[in-house]
Amino acid sequence: MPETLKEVVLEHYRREPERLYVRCLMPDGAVAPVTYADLVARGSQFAAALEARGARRGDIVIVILPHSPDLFYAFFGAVLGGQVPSILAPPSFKLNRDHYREELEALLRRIDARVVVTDAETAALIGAEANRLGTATLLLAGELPPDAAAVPDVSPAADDLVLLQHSSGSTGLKKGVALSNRAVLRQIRSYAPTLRLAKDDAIVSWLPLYHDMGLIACTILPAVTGVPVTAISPLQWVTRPSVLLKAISDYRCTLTWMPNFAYEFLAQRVRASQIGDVRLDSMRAWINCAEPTIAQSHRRFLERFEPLGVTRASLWTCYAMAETVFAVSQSTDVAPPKIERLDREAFQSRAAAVPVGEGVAAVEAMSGGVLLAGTQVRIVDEQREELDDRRVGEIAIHCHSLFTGYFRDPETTAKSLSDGWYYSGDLGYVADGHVFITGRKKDLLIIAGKNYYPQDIERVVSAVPGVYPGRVVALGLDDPSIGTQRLIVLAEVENESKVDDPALAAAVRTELAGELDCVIDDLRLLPHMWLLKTSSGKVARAPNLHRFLETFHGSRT
Amino acid sequence: MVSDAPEKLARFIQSEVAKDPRQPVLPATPLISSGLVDSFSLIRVLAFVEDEFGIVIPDEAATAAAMDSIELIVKLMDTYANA
Repeated sequence: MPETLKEVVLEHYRREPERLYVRCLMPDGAVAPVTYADLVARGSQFAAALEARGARRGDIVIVILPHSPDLFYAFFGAVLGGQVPSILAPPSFKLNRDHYREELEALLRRIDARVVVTDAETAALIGAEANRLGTATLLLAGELPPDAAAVPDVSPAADDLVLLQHSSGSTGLKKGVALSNRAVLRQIRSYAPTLRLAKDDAIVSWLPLYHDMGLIACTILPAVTGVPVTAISPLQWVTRPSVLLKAISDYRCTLTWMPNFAYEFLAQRVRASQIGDVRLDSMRAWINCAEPTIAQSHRRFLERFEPLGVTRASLWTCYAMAETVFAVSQSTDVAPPKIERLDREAFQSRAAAVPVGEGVAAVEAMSGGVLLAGTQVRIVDEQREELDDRRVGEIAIHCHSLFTGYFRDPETTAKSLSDGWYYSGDLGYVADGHVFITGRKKDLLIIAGKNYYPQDIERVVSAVPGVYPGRVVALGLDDPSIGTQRLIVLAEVENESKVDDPALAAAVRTELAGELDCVIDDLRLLPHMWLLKTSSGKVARAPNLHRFLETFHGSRT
Repeated sequence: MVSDAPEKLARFIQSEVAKDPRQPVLPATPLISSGLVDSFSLIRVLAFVEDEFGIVIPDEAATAAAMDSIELIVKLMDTYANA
């Protein structure tokens, strides 16, 4: 059995060169199919160009490309050449260019990236010089020599890194999750049977490839299993989510992965006029993953799309993270997600998950399914002592597809990886073999499937002239009506006259959009000393969320 | 045909999709790049343009950058008014 991603791809290529790997649907309606023969031929051209720019086996190659076949070619070109690719998000038009470039250059230096593969448009946007970006050499996808290139004569080893998965957050906090060939292939080889993946399956995805769900489930999984994927532009999906439904209907797709908010977005925003004669009955799995799953979102999704052929049995859930390559647990049609009503009081004040009947104040929890083969979890307390079933604590994971570590960051690695166990920072409980995820121990906001660190937001807002430095909190407020969190920012102002000032509010919003590509749902500019501080003098988030809700929403958490 | 478009669009955006309804929405006011409107709301603006003016802006043209102000949206509407 092949032991590296490169070998797996070459095996598909040798056996079935004309087999479809990915079908890229472009926003203008064009369809760009990529076979394994294309992937290896064009990938090898990228590999030759990378080598010509000094990239050697084991070097980091950064890929910043929009949705296109070249994004796949560049990624696999680096894989064929034995380099370690990492896909980053292309700069949004609203980002502050100088800031983006500075952050990128700092990251390139820190991880010693050899080459950045991008396109002319992005290079111009970030103001890169002719062929360099900071310490790295630039490779423009459009300027690849047209000559055919041989598959590079390098043979990566199973324990060599195969890719870096960069987490969200500013460069200072961005962590590169380093994954080996062995870990990636082990994950896919236990995940595919869990999904009962077969050659006649067809995956469809609108997810960006710089996110683990888009990269592992919808790019690597297809390449390892030979199941074709239909890839939609994430930017097109946002303005026309019905493009997903049409693709499913046109190509009889069977599986997709989406964050919870997408179920609400599709149910609420797809217009009847855009549906036409679309049929969705080919789908056997809509897999809800990457942010807390909400049973109500599934109900609304089903209500809207059942007439088009969506079945309840096809609504699956998954608990996944880059540090385990991808899935930890998965529900399916044969092991459907469990939905529990939990006693609110016991849950909130005793961290106990006690099921209750109707008529008692309750919170609803939906499970992330059962553990994959070869995976164990422990629920632990602050001292990392194991807790009983139905006690809420941090989820620690032991599995055969654990990451190698955070790239060049032994300190952060040591904090979360210990004796073969990964301490996820997620809170949850286990009951009847199902894993339930109930929140986060670490500060992390997940808004529409995208992760933000509140510290990043607070730092940017704090620096806006007029805001009281250091007296800002960023909070995520769960909003079941949209299936995700809303971003609340509470900021004290230096001068009383600026309380609620629209001009200062506009400045804060513009700065945050430019630096972090982030939109505040509710921004409050408050008088000095409004925010609550802990005895150690830190602005604490939870008490201020409480105060915010009491003051502005007349309710208690 | 769409002479009242800027006013109607401004009213809709300010009251329905802007994160801060106190912010004035002038023809050149940046919408997305100012953090006033998030990209998930663009679909509502597109639906409004379709329902109110009968103009369908094709997906490849309906990008956040091309819809970053009332002026830009009106320009898009003019381009596709008779398409």
